[in-house]
Amino acid sequence: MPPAELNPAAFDVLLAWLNNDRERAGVEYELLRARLSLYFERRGAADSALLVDQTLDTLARRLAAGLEIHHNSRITFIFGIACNLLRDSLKKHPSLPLDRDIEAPADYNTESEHRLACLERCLSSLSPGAADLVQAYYRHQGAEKIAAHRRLTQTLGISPEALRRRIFRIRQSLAECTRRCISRSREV
Amino acid sequence: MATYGARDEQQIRQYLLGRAEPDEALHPVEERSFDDREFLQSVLDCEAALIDEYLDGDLDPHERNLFEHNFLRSQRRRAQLQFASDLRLKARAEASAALSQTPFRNGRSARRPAPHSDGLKSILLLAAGVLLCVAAPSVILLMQRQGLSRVSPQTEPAAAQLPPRQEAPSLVFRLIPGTDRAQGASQRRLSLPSNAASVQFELTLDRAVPYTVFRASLQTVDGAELWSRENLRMKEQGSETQTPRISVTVPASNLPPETLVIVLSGLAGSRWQPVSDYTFRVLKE
Repeated sequence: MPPAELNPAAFDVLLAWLNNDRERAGVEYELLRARLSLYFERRGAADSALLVDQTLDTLARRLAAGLEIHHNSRITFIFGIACNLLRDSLKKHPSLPLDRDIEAPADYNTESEHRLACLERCLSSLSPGAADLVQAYYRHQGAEKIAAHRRLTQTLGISPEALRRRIFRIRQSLAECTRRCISRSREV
Repeated sequence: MATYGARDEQQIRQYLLGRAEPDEALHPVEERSFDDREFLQSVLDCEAALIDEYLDGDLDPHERNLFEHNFLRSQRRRAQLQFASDLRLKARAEASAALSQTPFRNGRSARRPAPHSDGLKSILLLAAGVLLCVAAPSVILLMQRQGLSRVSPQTEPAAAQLPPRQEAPSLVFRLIPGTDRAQGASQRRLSLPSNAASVQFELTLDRAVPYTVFRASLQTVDGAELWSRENLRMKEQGSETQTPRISVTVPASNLPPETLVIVLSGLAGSRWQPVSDYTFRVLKE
């Protein structure tokens, strides 16, 4: 889905530039977002998500205006936009306040109920095997955790690394589903 | 499919835990991520792994410091941390519910709860216990006077706003360190209803401690560990009258009718240092 401010036509041009196949272009778009997030986060940007959107908006508008970017100079061009936006952002917000008060993970509040309800819903939308696997993976702690992970690798006949990758894929889609669910429940 | 070795993984970890100046040139990890989609995926996997290691207390002190100062500066990663924590909570609550339901279901046969149904109920019950604690300061004061008390959700008005009550209520107990042994454990009685699913212990601290992450170990008086939980965090102090405390929920099935001790430790470097212990006696109703 294009960012709210971006002209849909410009967004379509961006997707077409990323890949001729619309579905693959969507994947490429998300990957580009991830790359830009890493870039901004490492450089201490106050609002990485906003800067990522702005970078992609700028890129889309330039492409929609007819600019041709050679394949070999894509990285230079995209991160050139990103660098300029970051510099402007840091002029407005010179230093990111360091918030050491990391939210207590197990702290329940009203919002956490919504989060957990969404998580519950998203877990139930997974295939039973995937839901059981991810819950089995995170059920234990300490020495029990190590033994449980070993049992899972033996049961599935895969390496610990393959198990970890499989878990992270499930977790990624679960996180995305939960994020969307929370956004929807806020809109209601 | 490309594979990445330990050297790559180490480079990615250093990248994710590090910081760069705004004008600094692209890091090799950033350049490679741009052209190699699988490498980018391995960077994202490494982010998830770091979050897991942080929540499991597996990062060494230096990495933990970098994680908190650099890695968590990103709102996206904080959301990821919260999600990973929720997922653990959900998985463990479901496991606890499955355990605790077995002996307390009034003659029903033991069974695993239906996938994704009873788990939420038990989570909401725990939430109810905490909300009750927050919403009813008079109850807290009462508990402080008694040292250890039980709050019955059935009799508390605040509970009316909470999710529908369930067959197996969660109980909230507040424990104060230091005085337990002096007064004798017999005065710290936890009367556990037969249908209780879990007990939320509020472990108050009588002094400031330099730790942010805690571990609670439930032990017999002989020192045998019955149950433990790590990565606990101090509850925020809402007012000057509120004492700092750690909240931990123990499945009722882990509370045999005898004198028990909760040993609270704080994470210092890579070691757990004792903070306080709380002795009480469990009586089954």
